[in-house]
Amino acid sequence: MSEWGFSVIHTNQSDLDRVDQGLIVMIENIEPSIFWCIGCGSCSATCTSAQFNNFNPRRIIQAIRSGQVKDINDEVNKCLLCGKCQLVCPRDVNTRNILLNENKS
Amino acid sequence: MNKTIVIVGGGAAGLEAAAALGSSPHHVLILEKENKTGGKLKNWHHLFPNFADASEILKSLEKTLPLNNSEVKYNSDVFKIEQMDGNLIVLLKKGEKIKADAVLLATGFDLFDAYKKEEYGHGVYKNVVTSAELEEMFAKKTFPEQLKDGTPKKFAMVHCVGSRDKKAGNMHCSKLCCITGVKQAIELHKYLPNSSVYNFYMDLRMYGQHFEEIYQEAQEDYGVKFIRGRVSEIAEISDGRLQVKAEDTLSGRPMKMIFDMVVLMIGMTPAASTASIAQSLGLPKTNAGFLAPLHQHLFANETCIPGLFIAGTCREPLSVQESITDARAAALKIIEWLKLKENN
Amino acid sequence: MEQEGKKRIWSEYQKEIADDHYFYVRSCIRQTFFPGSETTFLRILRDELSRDVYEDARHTTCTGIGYHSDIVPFETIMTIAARHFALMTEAGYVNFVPSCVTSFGIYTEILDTWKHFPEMEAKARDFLWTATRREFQTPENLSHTSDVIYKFRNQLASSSKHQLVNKRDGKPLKVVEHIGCHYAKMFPKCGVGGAEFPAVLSGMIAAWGGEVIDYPERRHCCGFGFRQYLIKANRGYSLSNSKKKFESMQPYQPDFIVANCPGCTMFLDRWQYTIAEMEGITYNESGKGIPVLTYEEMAGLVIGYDPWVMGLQMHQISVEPLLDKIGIVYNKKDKYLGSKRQYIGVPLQPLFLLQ
Repeated sequence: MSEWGFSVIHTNQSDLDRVDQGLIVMIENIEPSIFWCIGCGSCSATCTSAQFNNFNPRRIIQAIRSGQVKDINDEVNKCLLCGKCQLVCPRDVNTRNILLNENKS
Repeated sequence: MNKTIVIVGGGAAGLEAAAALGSSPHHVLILEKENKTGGKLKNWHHLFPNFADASEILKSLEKTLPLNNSEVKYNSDVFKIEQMDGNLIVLLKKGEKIKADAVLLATGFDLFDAYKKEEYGHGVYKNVVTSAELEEMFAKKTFPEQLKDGTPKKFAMVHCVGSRDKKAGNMHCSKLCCITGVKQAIELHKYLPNSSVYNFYMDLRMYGQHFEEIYQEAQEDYGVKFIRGRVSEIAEISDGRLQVKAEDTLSGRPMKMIFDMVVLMIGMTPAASTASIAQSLGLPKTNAGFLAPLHQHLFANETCIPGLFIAGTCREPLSVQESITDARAAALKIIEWLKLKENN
Repeated sequence: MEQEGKKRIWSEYQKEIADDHYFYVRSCIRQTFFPGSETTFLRILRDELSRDVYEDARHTTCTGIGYHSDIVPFETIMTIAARHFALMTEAGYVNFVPSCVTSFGIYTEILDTWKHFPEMEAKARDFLWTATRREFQTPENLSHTSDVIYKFRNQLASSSKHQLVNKRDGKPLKVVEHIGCHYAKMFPKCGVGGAEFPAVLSGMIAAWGGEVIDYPERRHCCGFGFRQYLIKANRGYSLSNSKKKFESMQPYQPDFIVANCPGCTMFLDRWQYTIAEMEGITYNESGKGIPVLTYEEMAGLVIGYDPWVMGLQMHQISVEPLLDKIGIVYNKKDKYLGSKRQYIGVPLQPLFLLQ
């Protein structure tokens, strides 16, 4: 068949019934506080790493919760593990522990 | 001198106002359009934030009636009210005229008619229900068959249906739906174990005492999931379950998910039955269409018409607790006003 | 309960559809892809329903394709629309009936703009006079041709030869109806049944014995768009949107698809070929794809017109399985004979899509 010049585009819409539950279940067991997050963003605001690159703890937590792990696998290496995020969190989410374990996995 | 106070509406506000006026020497007449008192409170199961039994609260309110100098007339829908020689004449739809020294409008609200949000399919897809319908299922334990087989079920709670929505004709926030959404999410976990509940919200309005704590409890103890994103459309798939589309705005991606049942958190709108009364008196309305008070802060229960007072959800979205307090405030104002009128 | 809910919504979106004396404007691209559709419309209205339909050969394309690709500015297209209204006025007609849904969208948009901004209407009159010395009156009724067929669906049903029923087992055929976006999504009040549960095609299907399928991506756009489609490298968007619809409707195993927009019908028909050749996937068990019809072709089949005279041989997805299901008698040998019974040639066979 001759070259089409275009092709089917993979959808951007995430099907929450089909996401890989593996990581989310693991993190849930180690650090259940991940589900207390309300997405306020104060962790990202204070984050040391976020000042100089596009590392974003709020977005990483959100991505883990919605199963979009492919987006964030490289990102988590940029965490300095300084702990400022969990200091400031109004819901007492142990963000540092989440990122530590995400890194390990 | 004993005056006649007519209370239009025998719901939570009307009943509490009658009780509060019981300590005065005046004669109180409640005009209730249905054949029993209670208004919307009759339809609720448990009230936020502490899951208090709604029927117990209603019983407490109704218990005060025979003790006071008050009377209830049922099936007495009010058509209009006229002013004459410093008094108010209340006209019933069935023709009767009642002279009153003071009138308290406690006519309540209407729930938003969910079919108007066509994209949500209420009335078309049988597994799309409103929060009011779900409350009835809780009260009567009448869950649809397919939810009772013990397998894990998924529920979606859709916030802001008919509120904060220009297309629906209501720009206002109905205030109570967010906490109701969280309360019902917890109740779904309690009554149907093995459920997963997802709340789709734009903003979470946890304004009252203990509301934020309930939100936290829902997340920590019951595992309710919250997705910040307004539902755009609901469609049925081949087995009757529902596909819901929303954007997960916090991660910036459109998403879809299949649910066994979708609950629409419908808002509060001004009662249609209040409209003819308001029109007959030329009562001003707020932007949202509720009855406007004389002064938002200082005279919230009074109107521009002397002797005409307002209490409860006919003037703005209020919870049961707030309606009760509001009714008491209105009762005090009525007593003061009648005293003033007598002395002049 | 489902039907009651839909009926309640439909009752709010009833529109006036003219009864007779139509000024008909054709589509520029429909006649290329589905050549028999417009002649079938005229046949139905003139022969079956004895209505007066007037055509003026001097009308042009509405230039919707150019407008939707930012090539034709609004002032130009509104003057072209004004010229068509002028032709209508000169012929003594007041009911305007376009064949293409995009055109219908253009005309409703222009009339709505003129209603809210009368100075634009004044401008259009001025431009038209300067360019052509013509004057016009706005139509009293603007309906799409599918609205007209919808209006007469019961009358056509009573005199029809066939029904949308599977002859073998007596069950109604499962039909996917697809409405062009420009029909109701811009101005829901301009579409019969509104934008969420449009009634124009489902009404026809129900009247002729078929069963309408409600599938999750029912209201999704087919992806035509013009803008991205015109540039080959961007066609992937268009293709992917149609694919999304096919994947959603497949579990319901529809017998055919009907659409009221030229672009949609073309896309839903042709993209099944593209997807089959690119990925080896077809959307029904036979491997032949789901047949796609225009509403005029569907009406024509129900009335009893010959499928080849209506031009069904020009469809990419073979319609023979559908014709067999309905029980229509047709001559296989006549398929590739033209209007003068001359042989027009057989197209090349695709590698994957069965014909």
